[in-house]
Amino acid sequence: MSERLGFDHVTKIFEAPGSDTGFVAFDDITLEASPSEFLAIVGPSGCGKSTLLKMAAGLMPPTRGRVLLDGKPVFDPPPGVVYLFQQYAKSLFAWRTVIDNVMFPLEAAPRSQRNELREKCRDYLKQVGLSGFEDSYPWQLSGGMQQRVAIARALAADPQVLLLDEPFSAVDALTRMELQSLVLQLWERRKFTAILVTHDVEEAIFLADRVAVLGAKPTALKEIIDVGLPRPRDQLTTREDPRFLKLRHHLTSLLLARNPAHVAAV
Amino acid sequence: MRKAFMIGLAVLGFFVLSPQRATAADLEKLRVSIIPINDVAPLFVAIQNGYFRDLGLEIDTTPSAGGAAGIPGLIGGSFDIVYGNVVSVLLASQQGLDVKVIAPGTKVSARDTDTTPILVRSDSGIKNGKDLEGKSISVNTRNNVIWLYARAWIKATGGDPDKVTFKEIPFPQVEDALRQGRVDASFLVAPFSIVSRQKPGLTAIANPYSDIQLGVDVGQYITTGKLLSAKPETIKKFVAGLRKGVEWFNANPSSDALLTMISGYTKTDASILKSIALPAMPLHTDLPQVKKTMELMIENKLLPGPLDLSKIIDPIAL
Amino acid sequence: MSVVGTLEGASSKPSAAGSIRRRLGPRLYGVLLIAAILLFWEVSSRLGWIVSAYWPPVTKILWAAISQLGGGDILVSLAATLRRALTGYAIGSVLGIALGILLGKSKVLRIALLPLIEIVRPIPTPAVIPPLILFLGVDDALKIFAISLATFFPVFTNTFAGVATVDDTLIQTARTFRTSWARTLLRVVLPATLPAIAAGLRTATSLALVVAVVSEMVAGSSGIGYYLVEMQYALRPDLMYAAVMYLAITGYAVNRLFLVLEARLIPWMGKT
Repeated sequence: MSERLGFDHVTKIFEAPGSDTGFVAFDDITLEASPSEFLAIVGPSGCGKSTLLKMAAGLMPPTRGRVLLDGKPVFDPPPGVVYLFQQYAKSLFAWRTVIDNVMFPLEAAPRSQRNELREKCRDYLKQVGLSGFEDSYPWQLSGGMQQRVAIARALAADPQVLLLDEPFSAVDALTRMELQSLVLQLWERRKFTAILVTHDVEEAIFLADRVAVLGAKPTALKEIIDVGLPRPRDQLTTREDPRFLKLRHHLTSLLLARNPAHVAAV
Repeated sequence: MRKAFMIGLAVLGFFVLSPQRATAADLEKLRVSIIPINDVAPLFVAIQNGYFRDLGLEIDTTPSAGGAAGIPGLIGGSFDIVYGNVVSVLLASQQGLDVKVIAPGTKVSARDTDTTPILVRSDSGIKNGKDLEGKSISVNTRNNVIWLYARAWIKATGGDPDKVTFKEIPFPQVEDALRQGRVDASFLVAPFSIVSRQKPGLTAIANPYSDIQLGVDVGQYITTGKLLSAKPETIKKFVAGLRKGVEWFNANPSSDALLTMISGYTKTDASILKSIALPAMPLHTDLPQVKKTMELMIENKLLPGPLDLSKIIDPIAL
Repeated sequence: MSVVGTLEGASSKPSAAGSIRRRLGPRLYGVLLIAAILLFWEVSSRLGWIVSAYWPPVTKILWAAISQLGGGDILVSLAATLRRALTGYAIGSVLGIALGILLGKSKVLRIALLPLIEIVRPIPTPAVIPPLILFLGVDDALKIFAISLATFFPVFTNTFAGVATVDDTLIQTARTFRTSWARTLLRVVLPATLPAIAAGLRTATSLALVVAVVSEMVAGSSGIGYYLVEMQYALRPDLMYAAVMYLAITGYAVNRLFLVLEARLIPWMGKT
């Protein structure tokens, strides 16, 4: 059993009022990520990518099939699986300071360890470049900094699997690149399994080992591509690599192909 | 969250279930609901002169402005004895409430000490009930003793009470309402009836109690039948103490000591009290008078038929 | 206010006196208006424009109010009223917040309790005081119950509505960190709802005070409500208005205090 997280013939049907069949979000998806792999899932907006991640996090059960973590079916949120939301502002606790936000996953620990854990959290904040902002409130920070707080909090939960739900889509382009590099750095250091959902093809290629392409409704798995670009990756050189461009071409055309109008336009 | 909820419940429970008041002395305690007006002066005389203490009673008076809380509080167990008016008592009894008259409170015994007139604006030209038809009169509460005798007076002076609009206005607000023309006539009690005539513009045209039923027993001390049968001796002592208070009151009318005392519990200036003629207080409930009131109530549809007064007025009051 | 501040900053070095006038400017008119009304009151009473035993000159009221500071019934009555109001307020608030959150989050409780709450809610609290005397007597139990009831509804309604608007992402965040249900309620839902709760709590402060006074007027033997009626019957309108004045000052002070506490304790109010 080599995979860490696996989708085993997963189908999700949302019950629609007034319809017997319901709305099929995706059908019969089988996909797995091995330990310390960075897997990206790309697909057009609204194809149900986030639903896939929410099932992996145990926030939502599949209609058919199973989600497996280390071979065991996932029902409730399992330990070691951390979710990074697209809407960082809504996932941070506005009434807590930055450091107390990062402390949140650790608060079930005995009181005696609090001080020690707090020091650890300071270190996580340092790793995401937020030293000196410990006592600020999230709403006093910029969007990019808020997502860094969320990342530090994810680190505090000691993730085996980090689920990234379009976490960089709500920040400006430059900040996005900085955050991508930060996540890559942390991933290389901590060796967790990362599963990224995005509609940004370049982001997927830049970050991932493999890219799974979803397409057509009901969404099904179209293709899985090995990226094979050397690591460590760099925002400039990697993106200029001819292989990067070739992959980008291939993936983009795959995504556009689902819409005949676009094919005609190209 | 649950903790906070439980604490909330506990706090609520504490206030709901906590005893009304702890008894400290070995004197037997009676809680009496009163209205802070002249009428209850004999009770305060008896308290201040120690008549109750000598009988082993401690009287705890609870003033209730307007008296709205009196009978509900008696039935609910907050009070042992309540000062109330004769109409309220008969109505309560009619509704099946367990009330017993144990002593008289006030009586309109003489016309010259009747301080409860009907007032009108001097320029209104209203002289009798007939003139009031199509106009309005204020009473403190509808379906009460004031209302009843206002209706009786209107009828007796040629008017139809059903053609007169009755407005509920608390006594303290009556003068302003009258002067501003928001009501055409008012049936008013002391000290308001006195004070409002100290400035020109208002005239008394009648004294309904004296005109309709001189001698009417207006106020009564009441208790519950339950308490009366459980503690007959205690009630007997209360009535005895109160009677001594009445005797002192009647022997010392308008004395400075009396006025100072009334001023003490009503908070009214003694100078105002001086201008009020205090009526003699009754020692015994006058059964025929109560019966007359009852008949008036039947006539005005407050009661469907006669009540057995011997069951409402305990012999101790007679 | 902020507009005024900007204009001030823009004007070049105003003289000290001018600056004071400018600063007071908008308020000055308000103060002048109040002064004019009080003056009219004083004159109308002194010259007998209004003939009423209940229209004493303002100066007489002020004098009565000041003389009460040296120890008098008003302050004692006010203390009794505040004690009741505070007790009832605390009970009503705790229940309102607790039930608001529990019902907001539990469908079973919602189905069981919401109809009852919705039926009781439109009943004006003062209307239930007389019948409640039968069950709760005329003492603190009655008044505190009535105050709790009056406090409960705005707090509950705001809390309940506030819980519904808590973003699902917050709850899911707590779930992915494997936070227990109780802990999620206490550490996530409650603080996220606090701004809404605070709004309800603030509405409830004035209601608690009003119902405390009204309940004392109906079934009182102490407190400022009883004092008001007592002074009416005792023909002491100066003291009555003095009591009203103290009551108004109290209400104003409570509201100010609340705003200060709100800003200090819920700094994230209106943020995110």
